[in-house]
Amino acid sequence: MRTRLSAVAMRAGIVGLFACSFAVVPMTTGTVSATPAHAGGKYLVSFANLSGAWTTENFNPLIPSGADDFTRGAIYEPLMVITQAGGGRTYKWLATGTRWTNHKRTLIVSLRHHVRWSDGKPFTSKDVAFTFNYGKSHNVDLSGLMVSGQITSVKPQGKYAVRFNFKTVDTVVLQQLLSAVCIIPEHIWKNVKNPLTFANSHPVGTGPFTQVRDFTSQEYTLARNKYYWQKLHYAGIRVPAFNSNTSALASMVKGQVDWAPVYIPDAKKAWVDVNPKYYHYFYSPPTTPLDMMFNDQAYPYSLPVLRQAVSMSIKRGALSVKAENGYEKPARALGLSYLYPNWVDHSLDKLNNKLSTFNPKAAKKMLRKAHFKWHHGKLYDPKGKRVSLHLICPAGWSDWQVQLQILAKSLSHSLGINATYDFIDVNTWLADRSSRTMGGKYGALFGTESSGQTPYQYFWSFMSKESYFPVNGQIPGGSWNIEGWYNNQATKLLRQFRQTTNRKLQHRIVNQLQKIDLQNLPVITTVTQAQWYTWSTQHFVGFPTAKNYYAYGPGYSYPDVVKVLTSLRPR
Amino acid sequence: MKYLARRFGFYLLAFWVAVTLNFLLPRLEPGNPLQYLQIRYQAQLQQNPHLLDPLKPVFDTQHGNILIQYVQYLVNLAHLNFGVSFSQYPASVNTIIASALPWSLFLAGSSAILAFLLGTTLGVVVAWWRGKPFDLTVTPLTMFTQSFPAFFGAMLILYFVGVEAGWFPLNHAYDYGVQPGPYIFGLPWSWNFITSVFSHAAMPVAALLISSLGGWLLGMRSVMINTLSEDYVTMAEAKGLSTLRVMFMYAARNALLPQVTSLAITLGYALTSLVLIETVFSYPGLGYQLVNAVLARDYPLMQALFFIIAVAMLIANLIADLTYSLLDPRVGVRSGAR
Amino acid sequence: MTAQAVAFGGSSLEPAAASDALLAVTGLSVEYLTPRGPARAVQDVSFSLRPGEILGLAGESGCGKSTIAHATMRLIKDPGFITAGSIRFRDVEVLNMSSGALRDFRWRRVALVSQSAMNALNPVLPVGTQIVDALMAHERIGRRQARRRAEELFELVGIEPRRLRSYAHQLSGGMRQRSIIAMALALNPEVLIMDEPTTALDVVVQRDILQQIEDLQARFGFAILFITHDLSLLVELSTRIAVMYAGRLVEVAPAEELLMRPLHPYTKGLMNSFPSIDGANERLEGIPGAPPDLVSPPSGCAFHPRCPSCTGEDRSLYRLQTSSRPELQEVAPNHWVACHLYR
Repeated sequence: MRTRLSAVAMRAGIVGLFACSFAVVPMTTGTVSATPAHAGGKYLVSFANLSGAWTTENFNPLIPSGADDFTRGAIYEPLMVITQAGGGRTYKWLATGTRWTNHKRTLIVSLRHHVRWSDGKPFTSKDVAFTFNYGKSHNVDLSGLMVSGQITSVKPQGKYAVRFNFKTVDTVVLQQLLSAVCIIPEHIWKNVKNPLTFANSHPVGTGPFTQVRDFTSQEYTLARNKYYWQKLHYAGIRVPAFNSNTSALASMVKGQVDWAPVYIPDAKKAWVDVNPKYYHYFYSPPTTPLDMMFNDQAYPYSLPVLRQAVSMSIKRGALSVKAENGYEKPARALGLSYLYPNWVDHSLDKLNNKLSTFNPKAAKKMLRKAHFKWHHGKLYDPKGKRVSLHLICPAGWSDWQVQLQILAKSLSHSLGINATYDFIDVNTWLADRSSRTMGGKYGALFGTESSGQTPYQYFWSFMSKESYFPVNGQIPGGSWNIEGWYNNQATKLLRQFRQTTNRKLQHRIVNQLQKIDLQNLPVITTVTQAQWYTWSTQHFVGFPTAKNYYAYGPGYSYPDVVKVLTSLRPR
Repeated sequence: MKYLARRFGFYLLAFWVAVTLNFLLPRLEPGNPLQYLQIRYQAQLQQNPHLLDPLKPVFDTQHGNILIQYVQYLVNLAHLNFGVSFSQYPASVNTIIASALPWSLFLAGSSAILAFLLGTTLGVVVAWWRGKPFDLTVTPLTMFTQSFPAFFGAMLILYFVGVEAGWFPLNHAYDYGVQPGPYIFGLPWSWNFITSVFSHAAMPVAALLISSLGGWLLGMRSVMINTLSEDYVTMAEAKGLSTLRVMFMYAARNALLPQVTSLAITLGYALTSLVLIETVFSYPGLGYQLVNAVLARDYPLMQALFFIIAVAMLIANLIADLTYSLLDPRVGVRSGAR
Repeated sequence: MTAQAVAFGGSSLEPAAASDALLAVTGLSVEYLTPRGPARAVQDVSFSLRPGEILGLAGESGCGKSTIAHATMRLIKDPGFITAGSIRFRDVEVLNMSSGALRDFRWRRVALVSQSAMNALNPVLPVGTQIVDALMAHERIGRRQARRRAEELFELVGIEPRRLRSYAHQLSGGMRQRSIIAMALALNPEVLIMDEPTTALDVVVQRDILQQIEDLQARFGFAILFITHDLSLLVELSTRIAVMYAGRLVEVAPAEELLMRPLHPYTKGLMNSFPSIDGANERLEGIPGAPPDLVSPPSGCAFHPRCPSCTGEDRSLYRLQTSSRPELQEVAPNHWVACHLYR
């Protein structure tokens, strides 16, 4: 997911300037010489993000201020790599299979044999059980399932299997359990009393590149793990520190970086055309769409017909082109349309099309039928009050700002809503978001829904009573049920979903959820969100591409990065 | 003496104000580092709402009586103990600063001194031959380069000199892998390392130079032109002194006073102007750390960096005050007379 | 015509050719460029200075006296230019000197005691250093030797040598003036140009300094071009006096002759402007009117708008006064005047 920091936009501005200069003066191609980076052996040069600041060796995989997800992926591996990329894929990794027993109250995960830690010690079921139990006892639970109590115990079963015992039947947590948790070695971490202050300067992992070399505050090297369980085709990775798009882009166009999670506006001109033979980008869709979220408990936005009318009165194409350079496609009213194409209920296509298409005339008709009225082109709700809307987003998040402007304009123009907008301090925005004041009673802000292996998480995050928190109460971090909407039937359906492993039943459930979604439109989609990344095939090949979309492309996507790092080959 | 005591009193007061503001600002600012992490780990948090739980006690330091916090803050400050960085937890702020400060001092110091020497000398020369071709080309040129923001110049340099021409390394303070070599007097003396450091500093220093040269030149030029009409300059010429001696010992030396004052202040300001330059060149100095600290709401690191900048500014002003009274004997008399 | 007689004159006269003249200025004109046009600060001035002589140059401020002092040492700076004339020192043309020769000529041959001692001293260098600078620019001597010479010079003008370390602002007005005189004497020059050396001082100090100048002159025998607006000073001090008005010489005479018999109405006016140095209680008359605009000076005699003798009673004289510029003429032995009244 694209990290949305206020500075991203600022950086984008700078890069825009920079990109323009590249566009005006095309680089001569083919003159980029081999850099010293690759002189000695085959080292991949890449980095996780544009806030590369490290002073001391800290490769702690359990806390966010430790190893970043890119480095974590080089050193620590999950049981399986499960990704939504390319329509959803699962790669067996440290685990080779799963099996439900005990009426789906117990999951048995079988492990890969002959895997060794980077210090030569064998990897066994005890390490896996330790990782989960340690996470619970030391409050560093990457799965969240131990702390929440969903998993009651984790025990090794022989050397190469692990038993996970569940409190209730829950089949949708596999991705969380298998893919989000990196396994740590018991023989190292059992001596770590406080994982918060443990810098883990000499990490021991099962990953491909574990050996920290030449660590400086501006760059370090991770050399190969000589005990790695797969064949490795190159010597290691080098991680340079950048904290601006400008700086990173300069190094990239000089061929000094192989793989970068960097957004370049006008990527064709500023990046690919510099060296069309090698330079590529893939602003990969789709993740969950960006949603406009009202306070659905505040009249008149509590009326589904108004939400539907709004959905039919916005030009998603304009939002995509004008705000996102067309890199983020217009969304469908049904948010899962692109993310879970195999789950879409095509019997709903007509309704989905209707709600996705800009048609203010039809929208007005719907409203009129629901006793909305217009005086001098201004919309009044059935209670006779002027319909207004105040849209907010953090100042400096420029693409969102453009979207807000377009939305406000088209809503007031086509529906006669008194739509205003404001760009506010990011911290105020955050506070508004978590207290759900939304800048006022009739406000709206942008957010996204969760996503997982199946559409379960997506619907759960905005339709289930379990994700719902009372409006005006503080919502916990991470929860995005900001609109304050839930549906009893949906809640029941979702509960049913996670208690079965029957795919057919699950499909039926999802079909019903789609219907509830379209009939109520708790949130209004605008554009699909993309992930930005670029790469150069000058030194390495095998990156995820549109054609071969085997994993998410940005290096900060854990655990996809594990799959990518082991799929790359030197040219 | 009384004058000096009063100045010191003033600086002490200014210091206290800076320190207190530094204490208050993060506390007045809405939001906290946890919220920043919530955005950053939004996707993971949707799966695991407990992901950030372990860090909560770490970041939640601002509780309890504000006065007690303030006293604690002052005590820590007195011990130069800035605590632990949030964004690079559990690295201490002092470690981060120790690694970044030398680079910023090097960049700020060398560019400020170069700009001062070059700008002032050029200012003397263009004033002496004012209205001549050299003056008519150099002066408007530096006014032009001075007029655009430092980071813009930095990007132009990065693009044309770094990317297009490829003359200098694009980022960082020295080539990765070059060993600093033996340390003598606390400084590394490996030839490879030193040349690497200088070639990496070339573009950032040039960027700072072109944005500050014009100021020095114009300042010196205008003061110098006034000074040149002074009787003692005519007298110096009448004495048959060489042009250089008249230009520098009699005219420039008097014209220099305001310049020297600004030099010290510039050195203080240089740290702040470094922020964008270091970002453009990913130069591992304080500015680089500051940008990351601000973005990550890393209050302990921010506080330490702002503290350093404030202290640098105060010291610079103090030095300017003292230098001024040293260089201009009349200041001493005025103060003595009080 | 005696040698002294040819020492003065306008362009109508033969150029000063006295072989015994140290400094011979002939037909000197200096202009300053102003937005309104050139200001003719000095026009067609000729004079010469013989060894050991004290020549007084008097006139109101702005009449071009200081310009003459600066021009003599080629110190006129943009926007001022020497437009005509010749300045010969011991028969060498100063205006043709190379920059090296000029540097050598300055101070060693001709030294300048400038108008305001406060401004003439570099405020950020100790006075001693400024003397040492002058010495070291001209002689191959070490700093310590130069320092000792400076000490001697200070003793000569009656200042404690330890004061060499002082800065200008730490000295009294009199001391400053004395240290400038000491500086001027550093290289034992043949000519001293003193531009209002005592103007800023009170009467008692003024007296002391003048006395000292006379003593030093008697001892070292340098010639002095003494420039002042205070004619009464010159009467006592100088051998001859030249009176200047609007950039031109209007009267030149031996000091006593001028005192006894001032001819030019302007000279007479000047005589009445100041109390005598004896402090005799005379009535100050002054000269009504303001000095002329040098960019567009009055036609005819530049003094005629202020001249008490330009009344128009005599029509032909008046026409002459307002349309024709009078030339310097020797109306009595060694007494030259440029005035239509003495034809």
